[in-house]
Amino acid sequence: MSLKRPIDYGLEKLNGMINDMIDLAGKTLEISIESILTRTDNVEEVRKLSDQLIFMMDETSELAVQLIARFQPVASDLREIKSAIQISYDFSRIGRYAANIAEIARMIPEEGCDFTSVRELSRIVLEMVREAGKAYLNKDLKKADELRSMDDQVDKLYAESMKHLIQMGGKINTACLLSIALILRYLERIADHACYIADATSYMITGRKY
Amino acid sequence: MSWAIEVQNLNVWYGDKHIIKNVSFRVPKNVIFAIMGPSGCGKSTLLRAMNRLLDLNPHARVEGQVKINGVNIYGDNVDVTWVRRQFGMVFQIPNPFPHLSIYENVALGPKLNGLVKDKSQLDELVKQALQKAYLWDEVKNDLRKPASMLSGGQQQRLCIARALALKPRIILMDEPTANLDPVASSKIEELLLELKEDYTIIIVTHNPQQAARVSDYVAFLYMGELIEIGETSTVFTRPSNILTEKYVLGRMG
Repeated sequence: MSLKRPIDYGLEKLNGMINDMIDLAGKTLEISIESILTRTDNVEEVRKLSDQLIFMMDETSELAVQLIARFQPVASDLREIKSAIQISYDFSRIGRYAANIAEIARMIPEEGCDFTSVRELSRIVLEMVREAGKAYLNKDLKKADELRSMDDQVDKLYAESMKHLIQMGGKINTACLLSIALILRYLERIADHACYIADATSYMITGRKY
Repeated sequence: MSWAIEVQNLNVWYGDKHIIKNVSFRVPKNVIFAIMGPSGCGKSTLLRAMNRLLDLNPHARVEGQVKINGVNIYGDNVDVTWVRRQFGMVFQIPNPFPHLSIYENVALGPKLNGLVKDKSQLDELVKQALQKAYLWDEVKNDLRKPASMLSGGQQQRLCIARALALKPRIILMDEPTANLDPVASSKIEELLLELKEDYTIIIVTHNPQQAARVSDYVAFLYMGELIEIGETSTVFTRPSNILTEKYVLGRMG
């Protein structure tokens, strides 16, 4: 067992902060999807969680800058810090999109909306967010690769669902149609950010650009 | 590509001890090339093998080639004086001639080597060397005073001026800032960046941060072996060897 270097204490703290963001982002997205599928108004709660994620992102990048200033990190230390800055931003964006989704719950009509596509896409996207966090924490290159193929799946499903919605134009309630289209769009963006987290993870491990 | 210096299959022994183990690398012209590694890895020995300074050590044995302009300095019929003239050398502890004046410290080499015809040429050469070493403005009114009156950082720049006065192609530096305070060290580092316009600089350092700051290329030497060599920006962001990684992270030993 070798001694910890001074920077190791800082890196551990940074990792702990990202860990908290992973948990919180997953929880935020879960509640927002829940609010659509069960038609409950969780806007205030989700907004609060999203604000908290932004606050944590600021804290994370502040700590990252301090570590750069104090330790002039190189090699894997430097890559870890750079990735932490990127990943914390991605989780804060995921929080914002989750808040956007929760806000849509307020414009959904009482009856007649078919959320099958939302249910399907959100299941994959939520899994992606959780897996992205795990890939980062476990420095798992294989999982990061898997996330990129999950994103292809999401893009395909998104394109199909949007095509279907366009065909349904005029045949279903406009508020339904708009709600579903927006939610699908936000979910697709969230999947992109999960993918960016995978890219940052792969870069952290290998030093190569993804 | 023409290289400032090419080292091929270089081996050095001190008695039975194998100090440098089959090291090969090439240094482009007008760059700062850093050799880094932990204490005792052979950095200084490698540097001293490059200008045949090891000839002075009766226990040292050198095999392999070191080429400047295509000429192997260890070849037959090579004039050692010519070899040494290709190099300027600066050491860890500033070593001006303490009792000689600042002026004489710089003037001595050119005088002994017949580089100048008369006093005015010599004056000009001394001034140029001191200017290039960014020392002129600080000493121009004290040229006749002994070198020992200068601060450590000034003494080191005087040593650099002394080396430059002999118009070398390559400057070898063996931990040139190890005995200087941070401000004096920064000055030397700034000076290196200026000097690479006209010279090729090979600097040995046990401070990886210094290598990261000033060098264009960096070689990592460990237990006499060349572990990794590459562009500094690459070696410090994604080193390819695990030993290099450990060393730059400060996890070695």
